[in-house]
Amino acid sequence: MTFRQFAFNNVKRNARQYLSYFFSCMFSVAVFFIYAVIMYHPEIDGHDFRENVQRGIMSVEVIIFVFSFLFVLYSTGAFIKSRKKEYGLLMTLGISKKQLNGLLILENTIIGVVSIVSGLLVGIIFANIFIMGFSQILGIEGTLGFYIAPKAVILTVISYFIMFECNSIIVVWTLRTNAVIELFRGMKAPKIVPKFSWILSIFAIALIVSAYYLAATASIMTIFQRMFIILILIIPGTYFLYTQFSVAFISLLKRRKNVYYHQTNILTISELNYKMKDHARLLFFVTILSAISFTASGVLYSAFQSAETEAAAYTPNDFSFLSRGADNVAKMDQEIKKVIQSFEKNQVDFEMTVVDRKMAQITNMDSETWIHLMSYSDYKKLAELAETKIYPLNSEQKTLLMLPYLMSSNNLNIPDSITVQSKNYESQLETVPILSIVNDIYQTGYTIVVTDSLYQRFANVAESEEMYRYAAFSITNWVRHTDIVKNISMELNQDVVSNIDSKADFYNVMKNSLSHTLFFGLFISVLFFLAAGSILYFKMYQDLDKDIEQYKALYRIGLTIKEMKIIATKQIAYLFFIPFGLAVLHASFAFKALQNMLASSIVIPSITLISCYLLIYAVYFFFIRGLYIAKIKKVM
Amino acid sequence: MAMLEAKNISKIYGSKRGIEHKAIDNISLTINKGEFVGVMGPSGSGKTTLLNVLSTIDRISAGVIEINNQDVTRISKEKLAKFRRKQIGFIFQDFNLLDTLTIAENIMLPLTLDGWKVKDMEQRLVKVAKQLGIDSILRNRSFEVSGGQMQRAAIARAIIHEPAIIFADEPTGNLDSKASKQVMEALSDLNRKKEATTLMVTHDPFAASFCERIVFIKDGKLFNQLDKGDSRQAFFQEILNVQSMLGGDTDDFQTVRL
Ligand SMILES: Nc1ncnc2c1ncn2[C@@H]1O[C@H](COP(=O)(O)OP(=O)(O)OP(=O)(O)O)[C@@H](O)[C@H]1O
Ligand SMILES: [Mg+2]
Repeated sequence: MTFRQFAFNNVKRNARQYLSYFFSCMFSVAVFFIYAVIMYHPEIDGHDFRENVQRGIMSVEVIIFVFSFLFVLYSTGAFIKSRKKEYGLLMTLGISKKQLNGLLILENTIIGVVSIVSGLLVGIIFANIFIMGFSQILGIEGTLGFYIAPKAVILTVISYFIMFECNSIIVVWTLRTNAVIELFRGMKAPKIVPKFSWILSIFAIALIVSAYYLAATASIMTIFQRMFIILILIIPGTYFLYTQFSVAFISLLKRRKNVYYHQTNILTISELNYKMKDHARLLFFVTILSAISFTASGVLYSAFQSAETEAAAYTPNDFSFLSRGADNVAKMDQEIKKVIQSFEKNQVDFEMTVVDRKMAQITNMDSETWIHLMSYSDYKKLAELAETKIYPLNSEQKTLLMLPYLMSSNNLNIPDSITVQSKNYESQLETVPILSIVNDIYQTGYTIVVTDSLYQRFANVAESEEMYRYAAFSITNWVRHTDIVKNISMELNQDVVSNIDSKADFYNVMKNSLSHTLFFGLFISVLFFLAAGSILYFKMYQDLDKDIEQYKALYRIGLTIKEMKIIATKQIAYLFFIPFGLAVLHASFAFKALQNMLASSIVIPSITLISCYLLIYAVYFFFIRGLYIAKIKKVM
Repeated sequence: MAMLEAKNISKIYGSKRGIEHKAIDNISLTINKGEFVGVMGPSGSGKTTLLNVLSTIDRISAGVIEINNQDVTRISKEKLAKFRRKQIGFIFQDFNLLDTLTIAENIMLPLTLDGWKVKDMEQRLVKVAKQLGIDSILRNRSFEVSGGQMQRAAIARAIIHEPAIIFADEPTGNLDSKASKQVMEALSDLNRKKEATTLMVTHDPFAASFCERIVFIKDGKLFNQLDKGDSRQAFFQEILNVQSMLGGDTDDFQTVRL
């Protein structure tokens, strides 16, 4: 038997242990490859109009690669640790340090090559489906042809080969324990009673609770500063929750004799005591990965789902445009006619209101800004059109200050009174803030509503270019007519009318930008999620052999197979669902923060999404539990 | 009264290539209540196999086994596990204590599994621990005590539920002579004072000399039986004689440690 044969046989015989690790490697190779295929696809590579899309694919590619690197590094390290004893034995039999390192690197190379080859094969099978899905999402005319660029293959092979080699060298380097005895002890070393500190346990809870509080009370103004603080709180909080609090909790549980000494609890709890501590870092990792994955996909999916409601909140009128100055106002009727004709031709059911507005200046805390004035009767017409509540205005000393949706959710310092002036007329008005019912023009400021008589007085002194006219349309079922609105918007004479705004426009922009992000985001999320799952699977398998010894002994003293199943199920369930539950909790506070910023409810989309994850996770859990129990049954 | 009765039992191991191996060949054996029986024989003669089938861990191919007047060859695996939990005590060569539990918890394990009340368990624990002289190490973890102490803890675990019969497979196999002596004294003490019925497989003539009766097997068949007379010294000598007759094991280092 040559040395190479020996290495090859080693991989073959350790196939079971290597299998999960191998599948994960293969999976990431396949994903990377599919992306490379899309990236180098001639029809995408050549497109210049989608620069941001290309950048998107590129960054996903980098993320996948970095992630694979860390993942493979972790798996290789864990795998090699689990075989320390075997290496110790080889060393007593006279294998040299150099030979052992050679063996490790050779083994890893074999695994690497096999996963690259199979990853490419799997990638080729799925690439077509992905190319089709991709062109659908990006709205590329027709579908892209099935074509695998040689560059994609070369990129994948080279980068992954280098990655596997680097990984094995890093692992070998970290394993440079020279003492045989240390290797021999490997896993067998007696387990020390897990220690914990009460202070850190409480600290962990405090960190998490304060992060939750910050998230739950965040608003669109504060979220960007808070996001960073929340991360700084939640990550160490989660870490200490696993390393300290969990151990503290179990030791409390152990003190409750009636619980602890109840049938199989003694086995489950005492075992968990050690597993929790052993697995603390792993569980932490899995929790953070899943939380990121839930939050990212939840936020994206919810935002995507709420595009319609958001469009409605930000754009009160379904379609609107404006003419500035008396000359343009005079020519506006022609443009309005164009719109009406187009709507009638396409059988769009609509209503229209045209109102006049006038520019004026206000003085507020010594600074001067331009605002739009509108008469109360025009306001009522618009409110009827938009089917919203009509606020009363019964005094010339009062004004309804229309706040855009974005501002209304925050307690801005709204002055109690403002001074409106136009040329030679001035009036002091008490403000009543209301939600805006016109499509706001952020460049020119707010719109205020004044009584008809006051408006008339201002209008009388207005200069020609201070006169505006605003046309607002209400379209029944606007989501179905976004294309017609888009087309007519482009046909309008931009010299005459400006500030063409529509729900359709907002909706399209949001949907388009989100659909790319959603695609990449979901993809990475799922990747993170699967990685979390395979890390758990890997750990289970590593522990399996040791656990089986224990079950064998217990079987003799009369533990039934049914009871073994219960213990095993409980232990696997803890490992799976504690991080899952915590990640969901983390994510729900992130959703709460998102909810504070959105008009529409994201309860349904976020629950839908989490349920999907739960379903995948449950299937995965039962699959692993099945494997585990089958293995136990087989040896009893 | 017979505590264990095996009638014409055989155990056949079938290999994948269809070659069958008769590890136990038509053995009949009766152990009465309160007896301390040893099983000896050359390596590969079927001692462990015999112990495994008698203790219901493994199924026999033919014959009948009754323990405490209950036929154990015809009940389901699930019921067998419950049966063992109540009626059988086990002592292993490598102790098989769980290292996640303390010595006390290890000893109480069979009672815990059976759903006992905490108070009753603790009472029993104190009693058996005193009996075996391990009350000072109850709070320790298994890897913190010596081999002899571990084995005595394992014995405590085997008897805490007052089983009908105790099975021991090479209980002194991993121990030095001093610890072996302690363990064997503890077992024979239990046998005399508590009338604990015990079946022990061993290689060690010294350990075997604590038994009242030795059953020798060879190639899966009963070969010979020896009853203890008045003196343990003489019994020990007789055991050595039969062993040399059996062959195979004679090159064992049989230092006299009486
Ligand atoms: N699971 C098995 N499958 C097939 N054959 C087996 C199996 N277990 C034991 N045997 C065979 O049955 C015979 C008896 O084995 P057993 O383990 O009972 O011997 P033993 O007397 O305990 O030996 P030792 O003193 O070395 O422990 C041996 O020939 C062994 O090869
Ligand atoms: Mg044996």
